[in-house]
Amino acid sequence: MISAKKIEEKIFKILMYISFSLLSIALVSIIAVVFVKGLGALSFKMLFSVPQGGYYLGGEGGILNAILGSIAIGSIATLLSFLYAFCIVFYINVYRFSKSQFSRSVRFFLDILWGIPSIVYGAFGFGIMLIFKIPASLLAGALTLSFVILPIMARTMDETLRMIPFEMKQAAYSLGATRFEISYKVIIKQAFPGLLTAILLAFGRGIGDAASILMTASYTDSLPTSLLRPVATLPLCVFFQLSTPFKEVQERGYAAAFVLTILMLLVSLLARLSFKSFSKYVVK
Amino acid sequence: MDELFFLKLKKRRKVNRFVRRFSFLMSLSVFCLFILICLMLFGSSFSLLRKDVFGVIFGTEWLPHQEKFGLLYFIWGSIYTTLLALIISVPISLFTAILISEYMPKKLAMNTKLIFDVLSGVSPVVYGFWGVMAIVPLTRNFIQPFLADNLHIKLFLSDNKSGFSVFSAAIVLAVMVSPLMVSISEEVLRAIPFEIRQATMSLGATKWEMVKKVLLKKGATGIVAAIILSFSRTVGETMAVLMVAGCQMSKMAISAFDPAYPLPALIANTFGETMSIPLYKSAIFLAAFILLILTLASNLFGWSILLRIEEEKS
Amino acid sequence: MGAKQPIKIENLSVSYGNQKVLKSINLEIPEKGITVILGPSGCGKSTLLKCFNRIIELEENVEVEGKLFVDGEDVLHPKTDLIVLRKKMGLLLQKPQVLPMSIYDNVAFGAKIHKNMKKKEADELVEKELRKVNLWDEVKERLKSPADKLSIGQQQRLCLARGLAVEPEIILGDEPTSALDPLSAEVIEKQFLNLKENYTIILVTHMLRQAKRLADFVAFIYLGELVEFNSAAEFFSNPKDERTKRYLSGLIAG
Ligand SMILES: Nc1ncnc2c1ncn2[C@@H]1O[C@H](COP(=O)(O)OP(=O)(O)O)[C@@H](O)[C@H]1O
Ligand SMILES: [Mg+2]
Repeated sequence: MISAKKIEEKIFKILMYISFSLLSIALVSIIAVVFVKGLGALSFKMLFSVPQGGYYLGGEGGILNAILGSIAIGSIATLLSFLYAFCIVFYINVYRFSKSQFSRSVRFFLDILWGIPSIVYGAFGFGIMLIFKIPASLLAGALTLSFVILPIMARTMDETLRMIPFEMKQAAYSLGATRFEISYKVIIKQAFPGLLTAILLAFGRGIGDAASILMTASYTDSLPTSLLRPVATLPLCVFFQLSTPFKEVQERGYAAAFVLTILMLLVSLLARLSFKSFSKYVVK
Repeated sequence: MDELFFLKLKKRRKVNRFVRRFSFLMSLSVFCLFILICLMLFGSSFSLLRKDVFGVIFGTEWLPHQEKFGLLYFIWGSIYTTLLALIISVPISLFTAILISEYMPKKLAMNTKLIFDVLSGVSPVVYGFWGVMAIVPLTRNFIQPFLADNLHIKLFLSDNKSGFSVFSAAIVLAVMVSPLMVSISEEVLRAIPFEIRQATMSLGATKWEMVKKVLLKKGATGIVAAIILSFSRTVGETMAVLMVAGCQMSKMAISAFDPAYPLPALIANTFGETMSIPLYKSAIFLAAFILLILTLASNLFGWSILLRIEEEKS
Repeated sequence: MGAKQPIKIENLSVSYGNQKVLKSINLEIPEKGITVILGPSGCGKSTLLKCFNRIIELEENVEVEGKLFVDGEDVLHPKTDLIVLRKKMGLLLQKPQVLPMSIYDNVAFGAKIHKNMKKKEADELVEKELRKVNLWDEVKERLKSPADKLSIGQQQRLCLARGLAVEPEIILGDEPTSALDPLSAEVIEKQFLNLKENYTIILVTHMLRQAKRLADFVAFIYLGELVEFNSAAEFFSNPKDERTKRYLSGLIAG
């Protein structure tokens, strides 16, 4: 009797280890494939030149357009969504009680927005552009992308603001500060590391997203020089160049996948560090 | 308190009021943004809906130039890939979650979750890249021939020998969504109180019996919620699917090795061509609207389950 | 300096949700000296104190009724200017709560938001206030370092200096020494005795001995009710209420 129980436990434990290993192997092999393919394609020219003669056809050149484009569109979208989220989270945590009906509804709708697939944002942005006859551009793409990353930005910032000690707010209010002064002179400083984390998480999500900018930002061979022109991005570089039949062009896709992965892993790890050097004045 | 103080006070008040009003409007705009998205997608697909709702949603013919916009195969493509992905992912995620929450030391569990978390944050396009480089060849050269030779059932027989298929897409999606499912289920299991576990353990049961009889029973609703939320995440996934699912028009995927054309891929692929034909445009917006409704409904459903569990606890 | 008239409290009731914490308090606090609000923990002392500068409103689900006159004006009236009101009072919390900035900025913060200051003015102010609380010599070398790095006792003195820098009339202290080591507590108590010449001081404590050391007047609160108010001498030597007697003899747990 006892041994039957033991055997059953053994079997299921083995199943668990197999599941865990399968998942781990799959996840690790993603990185491995990207590294193996990407490192082979990497060169100075690849990183520091733009494609020559068409991103779909021309064999020469590199992916500088996509690297700079991704950083540009990611940064602009992050900045926009930060400003937006900033107003929201300070309003629902400082001007209103964190747990008020209003604040909770805002959070609820942010969660809803979080759940909307990025392709739907892409369709939304593209629809707006059709109505107003706006062509695809860096600015349009960044705006669309800023909506995609707004929820992750706002909810992460919100969590940080809710961790501010109640006594600290009491102390600041009792000196006669207005809510605005408390927000930008006290809470911001205490929340700084958390805000930085939010920014990095949102930026990481932003540079990785492709579905929302496919139609709104389009693609180009040239460097991002104007807000009103299309822009190249790393994810779309991977997507487009992988689907060509030309070996040299595909190599650019490999390199782009490698750079994109490294960039996202770096940002993601950075976001999880505890920003010691930036938190000098934070009260523990 | 002199005149200067009151002069400054007036200014401070003004700034404060302005900021309050402005950020109030910004907060309100979150609702507006959501409603705007719904209205815009609904409005843009309205001309087609008005014409022939059933013909579109249950139609199978996709011939834009003859104004035939049957979305059924695409909806089916979405459901098929997503369900297969979940079938692969659920047992693996569940076993992994049990391992992490019940058998691993706390520190190791934390680090494992962190690593899963970081890896699952990698761009969808990179998953697609991995799918094209690793999963598609694996499917084409090994899995498909093996299953077709050994199991002669319709599910595994297909003319499509390219490897770009429902199956490949499902594998990629399963890997993409597993970290999420592991993390929700793990939290659900971990939240089950210590006393309940202890009561069973002290009766001389093995740990697995405790898991089977207590945790899985108590955590069942939470795990269902995890699955529903994972469905929502998977069904909207675009780039990875676009890259590996095969995406062939006017073909209904029956075998797991047939190509599929899910809704998000349709939207991404055809947007560029739609601008000149008004109804074509409507059809694409309708696809986006259906996707919105699907994800929204499943999210709300999943959250409501999680919420109920939390309320029951308190 | 100090309040110009006695502080009058009329029928003050406070409840959190449907739990009534203060029950119709009537009290007149003299404008001179230290008034100690005494009572066992949980009886509503902090709640009462937070009504003076309406910090109580930061809590959710709180309801305040009644009147509270400071300098002849009803503080609880909805039209009261909260900034002017709060500037009149410095608050010391139980656990010293420094702001996330340097020592210097902690002191200057309150003053600077109320008044535009030149650097020299601010420097002088910071030095003056830090000297008042006996902290200047300990921190003058590291004014720019984070306030969080100070010891708890130093932090509490910094909080006092921060409050004094906005030129209040009234100092509110909510068990300001209870988190401190005995030596730091003694320093703070000394400051209070020095400050009582120029400020109206209202001090909450549950420690009988501290009340004896500091009080000029004592208000004893028990289970949300004001039991007895009297001058310290009278209160300790000749208590009137039965509950006060029992508390003073240690029969009610403090
Ligand atoms: N924010 C709050 N919400 C609900 N109840 C509270 C809150 N703050 C205090 N209380 C309750 O009010 C009573 C009085 O609290 P308090 O004024 O802090 O007492 P004291 O300072 O005398 O120890 C206590 O029973 C406490 O539990
Ligand atoms: Mg108290």
